[in-house]
Amino acid sequence: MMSPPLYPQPPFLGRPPQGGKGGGVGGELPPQGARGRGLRGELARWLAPPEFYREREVTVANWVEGIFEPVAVVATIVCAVIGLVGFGLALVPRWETEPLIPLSIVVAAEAFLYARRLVHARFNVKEWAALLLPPFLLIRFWPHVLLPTRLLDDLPRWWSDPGTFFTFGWVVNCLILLLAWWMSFSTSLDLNRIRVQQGEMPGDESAACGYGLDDDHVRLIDHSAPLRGIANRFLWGGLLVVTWGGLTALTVAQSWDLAAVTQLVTFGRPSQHLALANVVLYYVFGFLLIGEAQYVRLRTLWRLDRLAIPSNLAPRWAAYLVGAMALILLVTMALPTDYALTLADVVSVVLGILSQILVLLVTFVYLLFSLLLWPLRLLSPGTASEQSSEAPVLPPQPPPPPPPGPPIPLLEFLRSAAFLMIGLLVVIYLLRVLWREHPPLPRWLSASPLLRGVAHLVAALLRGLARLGRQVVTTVVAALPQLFVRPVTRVVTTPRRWLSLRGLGHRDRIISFYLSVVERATQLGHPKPPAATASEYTRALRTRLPLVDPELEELTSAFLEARYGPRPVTDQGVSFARSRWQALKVKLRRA
Amino acid sequence: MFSIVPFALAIFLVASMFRLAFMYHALYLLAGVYLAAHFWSRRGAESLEFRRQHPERAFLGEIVRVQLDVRNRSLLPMPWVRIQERLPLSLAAPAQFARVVSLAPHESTTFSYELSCRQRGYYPIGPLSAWTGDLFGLFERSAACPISRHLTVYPQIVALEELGLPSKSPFGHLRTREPLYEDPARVIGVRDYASGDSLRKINWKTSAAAGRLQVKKYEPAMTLQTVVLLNLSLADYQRQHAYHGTEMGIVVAASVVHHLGQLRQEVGLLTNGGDPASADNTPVTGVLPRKGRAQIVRLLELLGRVQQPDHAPFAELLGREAIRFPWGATLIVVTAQETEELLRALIALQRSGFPVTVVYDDYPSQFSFERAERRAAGLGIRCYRVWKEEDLNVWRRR
Repeated sequence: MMSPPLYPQPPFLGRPPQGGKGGGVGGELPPQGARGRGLRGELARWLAPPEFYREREVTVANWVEGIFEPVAVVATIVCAVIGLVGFGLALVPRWETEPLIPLSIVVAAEAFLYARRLVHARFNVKEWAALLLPPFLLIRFWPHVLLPTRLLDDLPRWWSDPGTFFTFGWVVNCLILLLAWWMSFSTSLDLNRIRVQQGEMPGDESAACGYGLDDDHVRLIDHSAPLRGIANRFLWGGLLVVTWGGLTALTVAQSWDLAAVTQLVTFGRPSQHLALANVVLYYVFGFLLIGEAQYVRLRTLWRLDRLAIPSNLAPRWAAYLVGAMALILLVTMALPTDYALTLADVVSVVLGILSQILVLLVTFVYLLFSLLLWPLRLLSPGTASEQSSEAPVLPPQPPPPPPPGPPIPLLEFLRSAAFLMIGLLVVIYLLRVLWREHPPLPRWLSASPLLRGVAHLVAALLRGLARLGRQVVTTVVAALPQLFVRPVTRVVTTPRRWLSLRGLGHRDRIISFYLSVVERATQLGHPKPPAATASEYTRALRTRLPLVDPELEELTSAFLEARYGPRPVTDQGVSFARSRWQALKVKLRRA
Repeated sequence: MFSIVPFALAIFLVASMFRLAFMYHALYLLAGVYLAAHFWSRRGAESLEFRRQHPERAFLGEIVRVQLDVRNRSLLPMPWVRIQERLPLSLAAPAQFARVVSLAPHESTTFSYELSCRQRGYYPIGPLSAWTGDLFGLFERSAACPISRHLTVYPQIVALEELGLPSKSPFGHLRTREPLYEDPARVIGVRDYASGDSLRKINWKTSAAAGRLQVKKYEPAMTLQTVVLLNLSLADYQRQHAYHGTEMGIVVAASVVHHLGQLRQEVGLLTNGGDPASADNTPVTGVLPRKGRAQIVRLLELLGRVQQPDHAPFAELLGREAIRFPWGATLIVVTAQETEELLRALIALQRSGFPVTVVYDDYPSQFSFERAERRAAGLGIRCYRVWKEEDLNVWRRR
């Protein structure tokens, strides 16, 4: 027996399915022969039960996927509805919401399962009415179910004034149910589109049908648009849920107690005390759903590329997803969230301090200028007597300090400031990421020259601050070791004067003899000019110190021979030079 | 794909205004997911390690198995990794290898695939690209493993039996009929002394036993030092036969090199083809004749890698490189067709003392080859035509 095709053929040929591209109620063209029937045919068509035509087969890999998706979708929707209902009850405590949350579960599940069978997002009046009217009516008649006698009172009133049937509370309840329906319906359709579409798989037999290709949605190659739709819907919903929860919490004290949890779990009147716990649950379920959808999307792409998917990938994915969310949730709950001041309070305190500093600076500058200009005022004639009769101009008074508010402990202020500073750092990081991820943002700025200038100024200021910060950090880091290092006391050592000649060679000895004489002459006030040669110096020294002759000339010759000559220096040469050196030492000592 | 940053910022603003604890929980959750995804995907991509193992050489027709190891070096698991390796079209169909894998911390997995060496050449295996990402689809990172090694497929080698090439190098171990190349190390018998025989050849023991003078008989032997000169310039071949002709030339060269290698003779190679393994892909200037298996492997690798240039004057190359040929080496010229420049170059080589043999591989018919054969014979050059593999039987029948 042939397995049913992925996308079954329409049971009729030539006729599009109910609610097709013609849209609306009258989308189906009546057969040619039935045009003559007129009103009777139209009535028969309207009274016929809805077909609930299945446009696609549900394709899930296993039972886990088949159960998790509807549970996650319904759970997020219910959390959102709880938040909305809590907000509503904070505004209107008498709002009757008893069956609303259970019915929202039913409606969300209905929408999910209904949309699961569809390829197109069609509005089929009969099918939608068949699925939505019962919950709408149930929520309207729920008080009468609890108290049947009330119906006897309401029926005449409705008969006489049909408008009284439609109470404001009931309309709001219906809108909430419709919202739940729409969210679940759209999410389910997106989950369908993440999967392999008809005709997408190369070599698919049903691709010849072309039925699934007639889609009014843009089909992306990487199936990312449906996932993006789910994520954006979830994130926007989360923002609303957070806002509702915040507005609710402004009027209701939040507490965790058994009665509140019981009230919430047993679907009683929603607990205002726990109207905020669902925010966390909403995000947890939402991210789990997104993680699962991402896996399905990747699996679709791999299947289209004919890649074999390892059997351990799905279980690992589920384990990693659950583990990651658990870890993030744990860290989230452990991080501090309590602080005394809001951001506005901290900013106002900081601005107040800055303004005080600024006023003091201005006052100081004014006084300084007054002091500097006071002598000039004395010098100008006539002005002194005039000025002496005038009252001295006092500097402007600083603005009176604001009235002191309730005393804020310094520790609380510091804690709040640190908390918000960390938050601001995270925000700056996220802004930076956003700036990089969304290039159109700079284009918007560049449209206006003023904004461009401001942006450049801010960027330059930030760069300067960053550079200054880096310099400060570098300087501090470099200076830190200095704090722990003992200052090295400099030991002054006299240069060594004693030179052992025995270790020198013949040439070096003669050279040392000559240099010793030059040093002694320098000490006597006859230094050797740097540019003078040895011979020139000898002639100059001979004129100033005649007593050095002839030993100096002989020693200079020996020095030149040893320093520049190619011939080896003999012992006799060294002895000769030594004798001349010793003679010169004696003479120079006497000089 | 989608960004949660704007929503996190919005929640931060709302939380700062309302001063409510749970809002910060939501903010932490969003920020935690974002940072976890960012860090996880980046760390994952950086921690991937690839290793590719395969033989570097293979013979034509062989099946080569490539082993690919993928390892996660980090403590973070990698939920999914898609790897895709580009393969040479000549060796695999489809020309890529793709897999998906999930890696636990410090886990490694091994893939293997086969390449069918259907065509000689120098093939890069890879590069390999890998993609991974986080669980929520926020980030997708890529990693790459560049081409590490190439696979060289040797050309087709046809078994030859006897080339019958002339040589002027004595004292080898190849038999020859030239009595000039008697090898004193190879004594094959004795004979009676004849007037004029060298006294050093007298076998005194046998002479004493026989009672008359006996001289030793030596077997003539030669060394066949050969240089194969291969012309791969496409301009020298007829356009419709260029690829076939050059490939046939490579087959001839490879078969000759292999045959001489088996005979343990010195063989070298000179070609005007390009070597893709060299840094600048310059035409190969040549490999001097050497013995040994390593030389044969080197030449076969070169013939496996060599690429046909569009235009590279072959006669000019012969004239330029002749000075490097060892004296007395036998030259086997494998080229397309005869040309005046080629014949002039061959004559010059012959006059320089090199025995020359020419193999033409761009004459589709025997008729068109006969004129060239006559001219070569007139010049004293041995000439062969190889158009298809069966033509190599000329070196098998003898």
